[in-house]
Amino acid sequence: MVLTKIFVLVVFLGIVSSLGSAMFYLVRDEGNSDRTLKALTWRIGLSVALFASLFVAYALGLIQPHGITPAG
Amino acid sequence: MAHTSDRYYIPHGSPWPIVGTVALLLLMFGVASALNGAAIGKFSMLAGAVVLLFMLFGWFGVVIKESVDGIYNQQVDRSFRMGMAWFIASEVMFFAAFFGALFYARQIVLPWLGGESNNFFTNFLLWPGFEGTWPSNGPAEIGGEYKPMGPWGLPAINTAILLSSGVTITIAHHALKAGNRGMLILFLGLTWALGLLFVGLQATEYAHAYHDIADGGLGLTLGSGIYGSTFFMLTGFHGLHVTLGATMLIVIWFRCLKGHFTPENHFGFEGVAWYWHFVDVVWLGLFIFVYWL
Repeated sequence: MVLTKIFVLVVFLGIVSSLGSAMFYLVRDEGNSDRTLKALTWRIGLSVALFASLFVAYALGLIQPHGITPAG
Repeated sequence: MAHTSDRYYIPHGSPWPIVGTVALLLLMFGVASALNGAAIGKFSMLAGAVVLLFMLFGWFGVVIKESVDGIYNQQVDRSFRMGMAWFIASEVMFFAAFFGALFYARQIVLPWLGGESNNFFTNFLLWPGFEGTWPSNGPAEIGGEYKPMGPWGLPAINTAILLSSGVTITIAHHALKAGNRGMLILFLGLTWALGLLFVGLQATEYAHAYHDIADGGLGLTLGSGIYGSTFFMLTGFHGLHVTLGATMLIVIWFRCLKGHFTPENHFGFEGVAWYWHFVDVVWLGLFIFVYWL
């Protein structure tokens, strides 16, 4: 369970990094390269993969969403 | 007035700053009056909002026209990019504050109230028997009775919708770079349509949450303790950003229809596309941290 959560967190950090580097290239390259688009393509690819792997991990019993009753 | 390519472009005699000032004055006067119960408040707010929209429409229109007329040089282009970067820096801080509130309440305050770490007496003297688990309706059930939002159903569907819009904007982006106008317009159109669908479904989810449990709802409101406040603050402000992002996508879509962008020159498109990716990542973060981690 903990390992799955670490995996989710690491992939999410990868998504944030690709988004951040896309912003960096957007400012730095001034529209003269494909680096922004490449970084954004990585961003969406990783996001879709993470979303899909959440379902797989749930089906395999590797992760559980939060409880459904509030504590009193 | 003519401009040389190496000098900074300075606009002349623009009426828009004073129009914006009037709009903000009307808005703030309206808000202050409404908070004090004066009848004129809401009318002033409405007038301020209308003048503000008029200003945004007019001013952005001028900027677009100047850009299309080729008045801007590289220095102006750079200033737009820097402006975008600083705007995003402020957005990151904005969401960091709300995510920070969620983590602080969930990982630190609740366990302490429940007696963890060296807080045994906090729990024993103040809230005996209170268990600091998440989701919580707080000590003494201050948040009332509610059911938390589950990850299945609309939240998962909405995540799928927003991720799909991330895929469509990326396809549109590739199409623009490749000079494929048909694909660009089709996939950019799909992107804002998916954005509007997201906002509509989110409104349905809120309505469901706000209904009492007895009426088949969740009884979950902004007043449902720390869970309700953080849930609605985060998802509500995110929804506002999706609404703004979808509006920007629609504007850019019309600009694409008019042929404003080329494979080499399209900062307006790229800025909005990046913003859409940003809004998408914030939602993915919400989905993961609120429901799964």
